[in-house]
Amino acid sequence: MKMAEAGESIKPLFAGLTDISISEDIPVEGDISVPVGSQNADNDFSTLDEPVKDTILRDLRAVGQKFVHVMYPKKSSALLRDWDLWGPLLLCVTLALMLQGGSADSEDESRPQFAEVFVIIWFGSVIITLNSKLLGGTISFFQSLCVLGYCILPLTVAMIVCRIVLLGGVGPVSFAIRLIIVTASFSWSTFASTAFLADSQPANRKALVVYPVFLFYFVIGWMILTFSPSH
Amino acid sequence: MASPDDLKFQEFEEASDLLSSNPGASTLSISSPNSAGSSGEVRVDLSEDEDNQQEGSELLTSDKKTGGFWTFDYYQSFFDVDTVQVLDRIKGSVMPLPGRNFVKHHIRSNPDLYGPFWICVTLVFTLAISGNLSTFLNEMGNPEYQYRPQFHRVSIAAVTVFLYAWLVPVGVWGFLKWRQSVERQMSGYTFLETVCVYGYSLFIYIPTSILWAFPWNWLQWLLIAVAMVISGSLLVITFWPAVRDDTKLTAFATIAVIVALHALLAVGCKVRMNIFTSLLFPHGRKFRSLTLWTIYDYTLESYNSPMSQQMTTTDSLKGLRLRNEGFLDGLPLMPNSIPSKLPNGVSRFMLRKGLPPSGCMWTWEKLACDR
Repeated sequence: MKMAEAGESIKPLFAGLTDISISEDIPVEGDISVPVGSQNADNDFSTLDEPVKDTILRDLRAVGQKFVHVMYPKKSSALLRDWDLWGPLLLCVTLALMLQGGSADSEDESRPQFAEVFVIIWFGSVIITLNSKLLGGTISFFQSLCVLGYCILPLTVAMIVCRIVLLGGVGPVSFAIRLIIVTASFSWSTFASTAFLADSQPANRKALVVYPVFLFYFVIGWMILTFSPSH
Repeated sequence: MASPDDLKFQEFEEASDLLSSNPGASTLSISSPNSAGSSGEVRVDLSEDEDNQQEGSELLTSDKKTGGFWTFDYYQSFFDVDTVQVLDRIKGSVMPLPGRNFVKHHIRSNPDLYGPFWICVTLVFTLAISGNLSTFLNEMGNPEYQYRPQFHRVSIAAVTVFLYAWLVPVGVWGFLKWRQSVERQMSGYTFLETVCVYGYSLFIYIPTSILWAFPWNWLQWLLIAVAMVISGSLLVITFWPAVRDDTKLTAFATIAVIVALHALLAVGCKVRMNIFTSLLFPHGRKFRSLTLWTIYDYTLESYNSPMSQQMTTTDSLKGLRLRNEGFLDGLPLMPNSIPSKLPNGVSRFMLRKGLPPSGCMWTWEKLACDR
């Protein structure tokens, strides 16, 4: 009321407003919708109370779902949206354990050590990610690491199959079979990771980004192909 | 290229305006031996003048680097190339023509680090893989041979290639800069352009190293000669204009050092790869046991005893141990009769690894199996 009077005296422009009076009795009603984000925050806080089995299973399910996405690479963004590094760690450790050399004295030259495989995979992934970012890619650092790590899955499968084949003998036939398996899985890996990574690059630099990925999986494939069993 | 020429022309025009307005002023002649002096009209010589062009391109490069070296953008400016440009530079490095300076023609004030880095990485892996393959192909007929991928090759190759491709340009660039400060007429290259030239000149070694896997000696030397000619001429064509304004002796010495280092790399790669194969097959035969036989032969000669079974076991075993310790494969060899009691100083290690397969025994010349 006082404001209306002041408005009336100072600014005649607001003269029409003096007629409006608001009583305090009018009930205000409506719907308030809470945005989804705050509900998620509530859920995150409440995961402390759930049993450990649920937590582990949820993570395992996420990892397994991403494995499925790698094996059937469609243009889905699931790998990029919820990235995690559990899958790459699992695959890298499995591959390095299977590839590593045995005792130190007899076979130290023939097979790479665990640390060498581990370093090659992770260092290689980091360098490829840096390369794609420097060339102007829009993908984030950990997303790219996640994609490159998950796409090692076909090569790990090939390693298991090669070990089974090697149980049957070390002749030229087994070598030919292993060559075919490793070639197929290495091209699958390259194709899968290209399907996920290529969209984030400018069009005139796609080949510059794909080539290091090709080289990376080629080197890993070479390590798998030249794996020789201990005697 | 229109833009550096345009820039150059405008500069001269301003100078001539200033001169005409104030003829008595002292002017500093821009470093170009072809342009006329400061008297009256300044003639612009638009004929092929590499120094002016180099200055124009240097002006362009000095504006491009943004930010300090701790920002990401600084490094991103080194990767500002497209696929087409990289392929074009690689093509230019494989076919060096005497008229075209690689830096001026292909790099054109946009040096990149993508090419040198990934060419070095590829070269490291192809050297390691083809060294492995050549050992494998050499020993295809050997029934005893177990294929071993030798991963220490990768680290040796990596150290060599990266040291060459990144330290030698530092030296060359520093030397050129020093000469440039001493003699004002010369124009040098920026550090990145030097690294770029060296990196792209290594590209020809990639297919060469793949073809090195074939064990024929004449093919390997032919490949080395071809690779050295191509990449050496690329380096010479690039660095000759920067050095020719210097004294004759310095110019030739610089070029000679560049070519010598390049040759050293090529020969070093081949020799290192061949050390492994020649140690295994000194006389071209295909049995692995021959390795130690030959080395043992040298030991015998030093003992001045005939190569027969009449020497004492102690002498023979001592000779073996001396030779065995430094050898890579660690494959020992026993003479025909293995004594039941070993003399002092002979290690069990050697014996454990040297047991022949059942039904076979080592003789002086080969593994004789009763089959």
